[in-house]
Amino acid sequence: MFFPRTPNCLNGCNLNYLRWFVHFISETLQNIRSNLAIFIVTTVTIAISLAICGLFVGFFVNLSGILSNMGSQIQVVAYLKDGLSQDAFLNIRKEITSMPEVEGLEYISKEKAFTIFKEGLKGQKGILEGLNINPFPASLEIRVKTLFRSSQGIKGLISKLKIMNGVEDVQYGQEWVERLFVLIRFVEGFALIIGSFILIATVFIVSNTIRLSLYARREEIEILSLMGATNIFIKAPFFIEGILEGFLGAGISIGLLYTGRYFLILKTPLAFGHLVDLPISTIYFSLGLIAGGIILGILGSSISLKQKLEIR
Amino acid sequence: MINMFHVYKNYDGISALTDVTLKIDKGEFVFVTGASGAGKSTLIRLMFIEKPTQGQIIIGGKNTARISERDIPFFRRKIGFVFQDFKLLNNKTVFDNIALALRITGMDSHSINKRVLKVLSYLGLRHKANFKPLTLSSGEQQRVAIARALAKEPTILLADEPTGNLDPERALDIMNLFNEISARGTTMVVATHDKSLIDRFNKRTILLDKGRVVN
Repeated sequence: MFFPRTPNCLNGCNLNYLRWFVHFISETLQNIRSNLAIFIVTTVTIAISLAICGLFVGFFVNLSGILSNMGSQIQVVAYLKDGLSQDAFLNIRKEITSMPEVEGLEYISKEKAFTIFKEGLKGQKGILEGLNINPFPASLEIRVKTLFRSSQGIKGLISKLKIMNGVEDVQYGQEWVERLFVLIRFVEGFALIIGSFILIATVFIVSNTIRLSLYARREEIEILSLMGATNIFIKAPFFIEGILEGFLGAGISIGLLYTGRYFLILKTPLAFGHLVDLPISTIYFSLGLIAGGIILGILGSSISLKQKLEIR
Repeated sequence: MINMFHVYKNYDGISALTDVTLKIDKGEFVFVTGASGAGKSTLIRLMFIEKPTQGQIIIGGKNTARISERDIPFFRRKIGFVFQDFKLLNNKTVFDNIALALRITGMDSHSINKRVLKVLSYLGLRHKANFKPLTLSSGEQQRVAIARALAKEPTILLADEPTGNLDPERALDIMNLFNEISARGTTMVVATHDKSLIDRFNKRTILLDKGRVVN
């Protein structure tokens, strides 16, 4: 046959992918040397974008941690009727404990409630003089499971508690809790929108800088195509260049973020230190940034390389 | 080796070639000539770059109109090309320009070195192996382009105005070289408007006028 499909090479050759890989790496390095300015611009763009993303993730994770900590403090208090028998109390406690919404509970006796109140008054204990009875009811402070820490989840629990025999009243900081949930939803939505925007902008910039690099080397691409180079052979060095830019950009952004964090912790009063400290592992955070950089590089080069290679 | 049957080629509705039917035998040396815009370059391009708008082109038993995008590179590896503007990579040495044509096929470095040095010696360019193309004369650059085409040991060598940038003496050198290559069994198709060169070599000539074969 005049034009054999296999082997995909001329006579006497032996396909060797390792050889091609070495060639691609050498071509990539040569491309970078020839278009150093474009390579630097793309790498710095990725570095800045990832640093902004990293800063944003750090801020969001911190804020979300603070909010979730506040959420864990949500308590529902069930006040018990006075004069409840021991059996009735134990039944109520057992019933509440077995509810799916309940993480745990603490019994506050009438006496303990009064003591806590007195301790809260500190230097103004005088106002309790003459008070011969204990006006405080016994109560059960109920901690709610994370899954049910929503406005509806809590309302469901309250309605069940209210109809229980022996429960006088149920209280929780309704307004405060609802505001907190709105705030959490807002922060999550805001993070999603801004995060997506930053990512799309970065992919767009990276794909355009790689397209610039393609344009600068269009003559070489044309010649390679005329000689019978496959699309993979022509595009692979650009693809590797994208990955390299992503990797280096991520490295620079990690350097920027940790330097910034170091100075912020030094300059920030201790009480606010946790606001700039990452609650997630620094290794995972760095690996995440590197993976993000490489994905950006791959996405950017894939988009620009999708165009068909034309011969003029 | 090359057969065209009622071939038409249009660019944006403008006709570049009209009803071209021709046959070029294996090992034959053929000139394609005509005035500027007659369709010489289009005819050459249809032999390995583009597909016809209408008609059939059979090259080495393969219908180019039916070659899949995936198979085009493998098809081109068997065809050598030489252009007026040389199409050399100016950031690579003479050696690397030629070696690249073989590297894309996956050939091993030892065989590449051997083949490149052999072809450079044949064209009298061995001492220029480490030079960059822009440091060479036009005649030498065209010889490098021919060396690159020959390194693939092509069965067909296409040349589009290969002497267009050369002085008459260098042009004659290149044509003599083509004649020698053809004598070794390679099918040669040379597009040129240089009548003096055509007259000098007694070869079959395809004359084009306004996209039609007139002889």
